[in-house]
Amino acid sequence: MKYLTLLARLLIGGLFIYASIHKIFDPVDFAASIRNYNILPASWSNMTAVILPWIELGVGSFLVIGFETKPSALITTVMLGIFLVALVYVYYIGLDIDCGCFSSSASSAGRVGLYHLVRDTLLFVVSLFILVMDGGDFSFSRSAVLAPQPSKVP
Amino acid sequence: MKKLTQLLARAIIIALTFTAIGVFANVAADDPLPWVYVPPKEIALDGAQIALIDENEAVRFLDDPGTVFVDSPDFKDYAISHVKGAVCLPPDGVEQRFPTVEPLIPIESRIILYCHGPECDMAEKVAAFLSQMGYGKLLIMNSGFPAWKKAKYPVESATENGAAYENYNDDSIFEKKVAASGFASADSYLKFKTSRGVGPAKFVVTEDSATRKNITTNLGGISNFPRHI
Repeated sequence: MKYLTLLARLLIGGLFIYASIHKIFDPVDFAASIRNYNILPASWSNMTAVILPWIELGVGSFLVIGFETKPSALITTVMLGIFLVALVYVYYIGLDIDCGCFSSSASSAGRVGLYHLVRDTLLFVVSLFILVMDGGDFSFSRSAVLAPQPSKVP
Repeated sequence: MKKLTQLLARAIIIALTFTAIGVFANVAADDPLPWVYVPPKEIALDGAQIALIDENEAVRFLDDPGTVFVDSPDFKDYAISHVKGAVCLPPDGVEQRFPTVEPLIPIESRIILYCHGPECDMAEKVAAFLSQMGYGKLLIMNSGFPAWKKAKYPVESATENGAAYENYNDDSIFEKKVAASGFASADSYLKFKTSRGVGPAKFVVTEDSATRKNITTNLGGISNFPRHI
């Protein structure tokens, strides 16, 4: 089981890091993607586009290196859950927009489809799996990180 | 319970930490993004300035006979739902398509174009084309059709429009529809449709068909129309 959770962590962590890079380098484009969803008020789109990718990068890195894995998995699960709701909404009303998932492209090509819904659902389940099943293997132990280091004074 | 609270607290601390990093990264960037997005008021297309409006401004022109809404995504979406009375003119093949819809958009009319959302560029492409064709009163409903629908402003599907939109390009289909309706003529069929408020207010007509002439006599919503009649 511990290898399975490690694999899940690497998958979700890696994907979050990968997804964040484009968005960090091109927040303008990502803000456009957010506006296309028509869910958040347009005026909030810039602030969300500036902050969200850094949280993605942070929790993605934490999952990969095994630091604060449970709280990070909680954040990825909540984020994927919110994203899933947004995708279902967009799919339901038939909005013809790019999902803005990885390349943050807001172009008119690439309608959100069943593929995106299935993919996000799977990722959500994997993330939930980490949150529930992670036993702290292959991780920095919180106590080890926070405990005072033994003094090396002779 | 205590564990759960701790987990939540740690997650919040992590989220806040990276929020702070994001804020700092933006402040420190060479070209920081404004915190609050303000939609642009106009765009420049081929030298022409085209004003961008939202759905609340656009709806004021809905019943204005001098205004035509142009739906710029594709026929499939248009058939499902569009702004009530809008004509369909997607950017793909716009040159070929234009002569068919030209009778519906008199040169002096105010044209409100829209597509899927703020970043969808199809309305801009069609606006650029219409600008080249000499149209001067162009507006883009930048918030797009989803915002219009969300505001619950009037929409119609191609079927509510009297018949499938594209069917009006085909006499035989239209005539079959008239025959199936039980009305004696296309004229009375369209009068009925128009009186019910679901009439084909602004759809495609061509000049060489008696049926089309009948249709255009029922087009109460469009002034300066009959250039081809």
